[in-house]
Amino acid sequence: MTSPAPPTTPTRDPYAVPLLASLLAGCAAAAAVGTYAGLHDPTGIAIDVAGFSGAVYAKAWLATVAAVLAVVQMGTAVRMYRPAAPAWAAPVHRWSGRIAVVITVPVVVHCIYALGFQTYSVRVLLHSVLGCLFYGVFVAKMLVLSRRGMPGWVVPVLGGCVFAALIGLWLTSALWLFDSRGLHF
Amino acid sequence: MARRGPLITAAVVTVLIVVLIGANTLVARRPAAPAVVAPVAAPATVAAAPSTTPPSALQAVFAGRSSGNEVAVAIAVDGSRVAAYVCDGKRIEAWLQGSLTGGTITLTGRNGAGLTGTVSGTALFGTVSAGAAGSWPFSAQQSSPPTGVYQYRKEIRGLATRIGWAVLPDGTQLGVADSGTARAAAPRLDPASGAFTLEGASYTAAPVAGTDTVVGP
Repeated sequence: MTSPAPPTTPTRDPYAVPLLASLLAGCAAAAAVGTYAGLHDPTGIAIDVAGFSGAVYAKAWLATVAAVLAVVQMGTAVRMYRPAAPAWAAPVHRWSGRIAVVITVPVVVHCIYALGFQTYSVRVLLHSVLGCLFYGVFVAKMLVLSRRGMPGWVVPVLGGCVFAALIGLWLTSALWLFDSRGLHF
Repeated sequence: MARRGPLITAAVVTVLIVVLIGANTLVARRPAAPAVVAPVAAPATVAAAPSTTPPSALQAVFAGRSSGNEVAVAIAVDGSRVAAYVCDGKRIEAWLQGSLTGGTITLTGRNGAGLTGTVSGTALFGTVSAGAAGSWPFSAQQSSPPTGVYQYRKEIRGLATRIGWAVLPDGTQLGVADSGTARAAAPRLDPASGAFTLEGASYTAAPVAGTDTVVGP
């Protein structure tokens, strides 16, 4: 009749459901950012951060600080995974990450409120997509971190994605601005 | 067993984003909010006219002048994509690129240049900025060719040259020529053929469509 049951009963990985849920929540966050940016009528103007020559330069410098902190994130993350991890690596990693992501908030709000999801050049399209991706992976990583028992590769992979997205965002915005319009405040 | 730190971080970031968008929305509703670079003294019609939704695939050219006649503006619209040129015919110019969404045009250019405007029937009202050179309220009228944006972009005598023209509904044309690092008034353009003459040689400029890339990546 039917073939006998396979020799090993399939076991469900205990982390599978929470991991999938976290990734789906990240997808939802990315979609939410992108949908708002696409649907909201770009105003062209928004609340600005004082002290810079203009909103774009304020954004570019905030993004630069976030990108530098992202490099700190990378350095501390690597140390955390070493056998003799220095005691400062974990707290520095946590707090540099918190500061970095909070710093990106005024930038993203200006982006999605004043400018919107745009596609008129490769740089702009790439920047729009990476922006959605960044917050999506960030949400996924925060949710995964809050769970114990995840496989060891999950957090480094998600962290690497967050890092790559943020650096890509910086390259397609701040670097472009500094290159085309000069390096000043 | 759950660790709360990352959840708190995610929650804080979410709340901050929502609060900041909310603050933006509130400030935008108030006409004279100090924190906002509001379009100064925009024509009253902008505020009065409710956003009359234009046809979804608007293909048009708009052209006009700033309220004090400081600059001329020409805008090419193809669906949601918009390209524009603003200049004073002498020293000030800016190329602008962006989109038309729900009757609102939002364009940006280099060095802080930008344009925001609202399409109201066949008219367009808004504010245009040529970066440090200034920012002015303007009105533009939908018109048909030869009204529009024209551009010539190639080498002339070994110098990277870019010339822009804004041709207005009354036939007036204002243009600025950048050649190498020199900037001067543009030569007279024949909008019908695109022909113009510079230092004895003949060249041909092209009309710019909303889908053209005028502000490079």
